[in-house]
Amino acid sequence: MKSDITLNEDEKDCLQELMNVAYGSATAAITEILDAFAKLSIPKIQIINADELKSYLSKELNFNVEHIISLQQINGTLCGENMFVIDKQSAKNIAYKFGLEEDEVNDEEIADIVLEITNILSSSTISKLAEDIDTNVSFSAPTIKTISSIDQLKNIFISKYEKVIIISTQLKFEDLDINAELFIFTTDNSILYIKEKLNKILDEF
Amino acid sequence: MNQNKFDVICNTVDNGIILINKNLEVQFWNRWLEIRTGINSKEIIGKNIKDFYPLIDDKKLIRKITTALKLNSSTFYTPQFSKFLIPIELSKVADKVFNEMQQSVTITPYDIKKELVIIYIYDTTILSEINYKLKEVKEEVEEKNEELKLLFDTTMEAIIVFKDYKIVDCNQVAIELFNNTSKESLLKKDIHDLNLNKNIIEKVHIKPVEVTITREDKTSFKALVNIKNTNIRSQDYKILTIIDISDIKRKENLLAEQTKLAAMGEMIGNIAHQWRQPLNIISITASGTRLKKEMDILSDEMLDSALKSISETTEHLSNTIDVFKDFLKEDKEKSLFNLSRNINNNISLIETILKENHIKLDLNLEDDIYLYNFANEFSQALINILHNASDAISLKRKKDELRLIKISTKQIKDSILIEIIDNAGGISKEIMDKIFEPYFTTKHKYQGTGLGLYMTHKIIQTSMKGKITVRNQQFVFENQECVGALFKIRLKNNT
Repeated sequence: MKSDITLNEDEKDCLQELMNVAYGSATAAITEILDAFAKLSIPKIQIINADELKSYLSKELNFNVEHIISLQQINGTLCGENMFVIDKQSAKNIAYKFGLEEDEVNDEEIADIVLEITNILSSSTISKLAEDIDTNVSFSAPTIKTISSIDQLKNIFISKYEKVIIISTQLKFEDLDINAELFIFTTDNSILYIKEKLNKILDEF
Repeated sequence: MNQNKFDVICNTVDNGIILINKNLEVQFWNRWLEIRTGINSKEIIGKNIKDFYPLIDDKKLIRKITTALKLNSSTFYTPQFSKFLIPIELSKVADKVFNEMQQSVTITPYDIKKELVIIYIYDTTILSEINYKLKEVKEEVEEKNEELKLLFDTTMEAIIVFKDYKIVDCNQVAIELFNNTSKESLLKKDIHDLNLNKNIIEKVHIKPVEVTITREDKTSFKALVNIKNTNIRSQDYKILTIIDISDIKRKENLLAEQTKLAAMGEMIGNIAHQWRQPLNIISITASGTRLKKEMDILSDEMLDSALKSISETTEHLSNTIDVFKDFLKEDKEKSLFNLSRNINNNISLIETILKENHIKLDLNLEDDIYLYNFANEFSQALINILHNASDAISLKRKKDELRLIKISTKQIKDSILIEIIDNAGGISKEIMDKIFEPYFTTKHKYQGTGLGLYMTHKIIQTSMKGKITVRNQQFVFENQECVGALFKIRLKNNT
């Protein structure tokens, strides 16, 4: 089993291609909904050991300031979790983008906006990927947390999985200073499923 | 699915279902909602939901509907923040937490062209209640924790908790005691890093043990330590408590030093008394002889007798010096000594004082009691009691009244009882249990040091491992009723 839960170069390339397309549609959706030109950086794909996830994240994210973390469970053959991380100031900036007035921006509203963004990113990226690899997914309602250290996330890390695929991207708006990252964690079985589908696509070429 | 089936499902399912368009006009309102809101579907269909629920944030709802339609995917109201979409009052009476039903809401696209979505409303009140109660409990636990931490940090003892010989927790006192800058630096350490004796770590102690602990920076301190083994959730822990007693030790040493000085001071007083008379004899003899010589009546016999007297008196002085010297010598080791001889020697040291105060001594000493103990310390102890008795008598009894100190010794099986009683009237009740405390004195400042009886108590109980008690006692002496303080000293003589 162990050796199966990795992607070879071809498989990785293929997934990268699919994700680029999926992120393209997510960008379009955000642009349309927010009526502002959003840009998602080209997704970075990695497979790491599940037990390294925590140290990976604490290295990857800057926890000097308060961050809002939104998690949304993905259900179906392609299952796992989406994690959207945004610092508080960026979240506030997005809230203005959503048409909120200064006096309307409070913690609750910010949380709701972050939730909305997570939802948009999840649906547009994963739904597209699911469609491409011939499966269906559904999403659970996202949950939200404000944290100032990765240790505050201790209970959410999956321990029964060996590997996780991390697809990470940065969200940018042309006229706004926004720093946000989206991580998609998928589980062992999903990796195997993706691998199988990727090979099918590769064979068709 | 035909219309009928659809209706049956929608009207029997245990959650609210609303079919609504982007302009917030209701197209369908299921039975669950009818029952809980009291609004009939006929009343609301075709109308704007805001007409019924003006408090709904329409901007947000329209945004979510739009997003769902654009993405062709569900959007949500997170139950973490939005308590409810449609206010539904709860009929619950007992153990109520919320007034309104807590809701989780999912908005799912239904017909993208017609811009229709389905709003599913789930009742999450129970979950929210549990969450609410959990939060309450958590706050309570945190508060308790805070209190405990405060207690943990405000005690005088350093407390260190070990699991498998590793330090897992400690209080602020421990950090400071071991000269550590932070808790983290101490938490990295092992029990052996504390330089404690192996015996202390391994053995089970009932009483605290006195040790000297050397810190990592080579400084050291005297401490009282105790280790307890405990079991928390079937894991073995050791709890080490340490009290820094350097200060107490320093004070104790100071007290011992002062006690010794006080003893010496009293002895010098005794020597002065003891020497006055012999010095007088020498002086008178010398000046008498000189006078006789000047008057030319000094015979050889007279000169011989005078010189003899001077020489004898000088020898007596020399002897007293020896006795005093012995008395002030610290006993390094125990020795075997005769009790009655020791007591008689002690009396000789202060007999001048007793005589000056007109105090009668009544001795009842068994001759052949031998003790293997610290002889000089015992002398100090006894002389302190005699001094005290003599002072009390001088204060309470007139010169022409009977002034008495009785000393008796008795062998009872393998222990020896020494009783000293005076007729000064006894010790008043209020101070009875304070008289052995250091710096306690009833005498005027420059007369008493307050250390005499403390020293006596320490010698008898700590050095000689005996017991000393005091109480008031009535007795008859030569047909006279007497009352006084009775000191009883018990010592073992089998060692």
